[in-house]
Amino acid sequence: MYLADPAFWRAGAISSTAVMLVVLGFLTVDSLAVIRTGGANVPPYTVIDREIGYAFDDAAGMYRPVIGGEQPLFGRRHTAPEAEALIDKGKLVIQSRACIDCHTFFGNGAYYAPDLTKAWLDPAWEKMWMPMTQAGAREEAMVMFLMEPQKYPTWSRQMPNLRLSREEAEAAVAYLKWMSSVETNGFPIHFGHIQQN
Amino acid sequence: MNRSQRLAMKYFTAAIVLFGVMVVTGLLTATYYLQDGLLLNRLDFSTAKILHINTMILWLLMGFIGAIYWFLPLELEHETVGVRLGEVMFWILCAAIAVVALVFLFVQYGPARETSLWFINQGRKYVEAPRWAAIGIVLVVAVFVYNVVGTVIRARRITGIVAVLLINLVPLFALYLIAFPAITNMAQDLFWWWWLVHLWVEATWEILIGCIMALALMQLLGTSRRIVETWLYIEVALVLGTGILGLGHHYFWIGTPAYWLAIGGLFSALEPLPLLGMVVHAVYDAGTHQMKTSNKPAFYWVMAEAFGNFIGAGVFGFMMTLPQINLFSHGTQWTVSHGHFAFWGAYACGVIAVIYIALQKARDADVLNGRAWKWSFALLNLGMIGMVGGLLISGMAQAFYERAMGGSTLDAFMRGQTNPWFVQGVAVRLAFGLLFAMGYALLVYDLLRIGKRREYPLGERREARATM
Amino acid sequence: MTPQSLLLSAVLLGAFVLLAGAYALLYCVGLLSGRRELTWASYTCYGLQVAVAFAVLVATPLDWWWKALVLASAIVYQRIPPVVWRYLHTLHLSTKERACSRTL
Repeated sequence: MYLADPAFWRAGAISSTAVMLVVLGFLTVDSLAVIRTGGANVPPYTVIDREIGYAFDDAAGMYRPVIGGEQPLFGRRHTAPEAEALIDKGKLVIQSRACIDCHTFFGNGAYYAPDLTKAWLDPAWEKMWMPMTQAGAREEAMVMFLMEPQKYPTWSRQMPNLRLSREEAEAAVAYLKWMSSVETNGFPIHFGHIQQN
Repeated sequence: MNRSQRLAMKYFTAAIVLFGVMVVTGLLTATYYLQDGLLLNRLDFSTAKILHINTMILWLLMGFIGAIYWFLPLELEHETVGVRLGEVMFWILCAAIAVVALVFLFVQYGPARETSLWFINQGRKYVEAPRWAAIGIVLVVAVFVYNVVGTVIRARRITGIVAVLLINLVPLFALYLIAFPAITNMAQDLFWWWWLVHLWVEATWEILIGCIMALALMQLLGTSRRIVETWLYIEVALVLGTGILGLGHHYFWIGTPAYWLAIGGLFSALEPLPLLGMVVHAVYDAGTHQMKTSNKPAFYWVMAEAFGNFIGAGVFGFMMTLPQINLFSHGTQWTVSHGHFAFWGAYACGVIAVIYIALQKARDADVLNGRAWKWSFALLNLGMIGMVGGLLISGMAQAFYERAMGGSTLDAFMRGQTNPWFVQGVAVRLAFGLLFAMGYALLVYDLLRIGKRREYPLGERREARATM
Repeated sequence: MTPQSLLLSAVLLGAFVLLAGAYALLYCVGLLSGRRELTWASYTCYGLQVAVAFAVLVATPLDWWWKALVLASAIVYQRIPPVVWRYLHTLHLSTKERACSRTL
């Protein structure tokens, strides 16, 4: 019986793998176009000088980032190359300090510290850290916290001091702001809104 | 033992040592959840976690490599080509691992420059090892591939199993190159990173352990080559048939198009089906041999592999894979629960089984049995079940309180982490982690002693065999 | 998706696959031992699995295509143990026949 013939299943293994790889290939090409910086789901780095929000889109049936008017980061406008350099640096900060081994980014990483996908939009910056740091703007509070987390704790689990320079802290903040503008199919759901049960 | 098999024993030894480091660092990471401020700014959670997950990857890889060095000369009836070079690479690998671990522990991180990625920490999960070490791993694996290919050529022989193994080594090796780049755009970074992680642990590693189990079953149960080969091809067809596009279950929320929700969810939901087939196969094999075997521990660990894989990867995976659920469970302790159980079932049990198979031959023991392995087996599996049970509770609490109710802010995160259910869950995890650690200690004890020739008369040995 | 329905849905989905495993295990052990009560126990597990699939259909807020997938896979899960068992048996027999015919 051919079902008992290894050659039959060998052919099955090869064809099933090949078909799936081809489909994956096509989907990869399409996805790469969508996720490239400036693609449909990922705004260009200059979005750091725009207002970014997150609201429920009735048409899409899910939460989506909302890009608004001008909101220069750190009170200064960045050209495209400046924004790119800043975000590049931000990613180097994140990698050199292994942030992903305590935090998550788009839900990926470690689960000891909060998810940072929408950290830029967290109400805690305005509610807790701006008063604590006496900073005039959200991004300034973020920078001060990142540089000296031990001075501004908010609960008993503390963030370590990773000896970030001012430049590095600003780059990390810029990165978080940019990241909050990425379309993530509604993750995390209803960020900042508490569901009454 | 031939030279290749002696090299295999070295790899197995290193693997078990790293398993121990993984256990210790695992206990440490678990403790941070229950002890605020533990070693803050001296040895933070991230460092402990990096050591824990990297040693996990390494001990399993070393187990796989050892298994191939063990079986290859038997399979191809020829000593492994270039085994001396393989030995050199083994020692280089061990030295590199030690240096990387010491740098993780004592240097920890550097400034935001490329040099930090080259020499200290690359900061991408599972592949934190600095680039110089990643190059080292590439070289070690390249020599390993040379060993395998060279032996095939010199022996002028190839079997179905070795052919699958060889073809599988190509993507396995190539995918590792994704460990090198530092991509600014996080969506792109994670897109490719998941090619590496998923297509390793849910594709090429599955094929690799499939090949190793095929070779192991021929030794352990005397199963015919035709049967294990046929089954291997079926496994490849089903595992890759579901697993390749199952990659999509990591593409729900990272910036990729929404069609991945449907594609990834569908193929991911199909992934448990081949695993159920493997359970049936395991019971069939156990039954046709009436549970009689001259290597009890190996046999039981092979059974644990089939069941652990099904429950850890299949059941726990299916629970959280549909996008409407995953939206809440993604990136919580629920994921940790599934991850631990899946790795344990799919890979760890298999590697332990192979080590027992090798030990039987290495110690020239007619029969491998005893008490220690039973206790170790029980404690390790119970420990694992308890850990993942605790983590499941914590994860569900997190999904419920932090995500579904809380809106995923820092405040919601805090409330989730301090919720009594969550805290109970991680406390249970630590308690069972200690049980697991005891099981590990017994495993080491047993591996050091089992099957060693003792000075007693022939009659007693024959009697011991008869009671197996 | 309320928080409660989230947990209920997840538990049902996990139970769905777990019961498939229980059914498969009991079915196979029933065949090996020849004990009818084990085979009946396996069918009970499968019955429970179908009940869970039905619960997924009526009691969860999953989209209809996921519910359809769960129902369809309930049928496939039922077929796996007998089909795979029969296949393995045939495979072993045919391998033995080939081995015998070679030695003749």
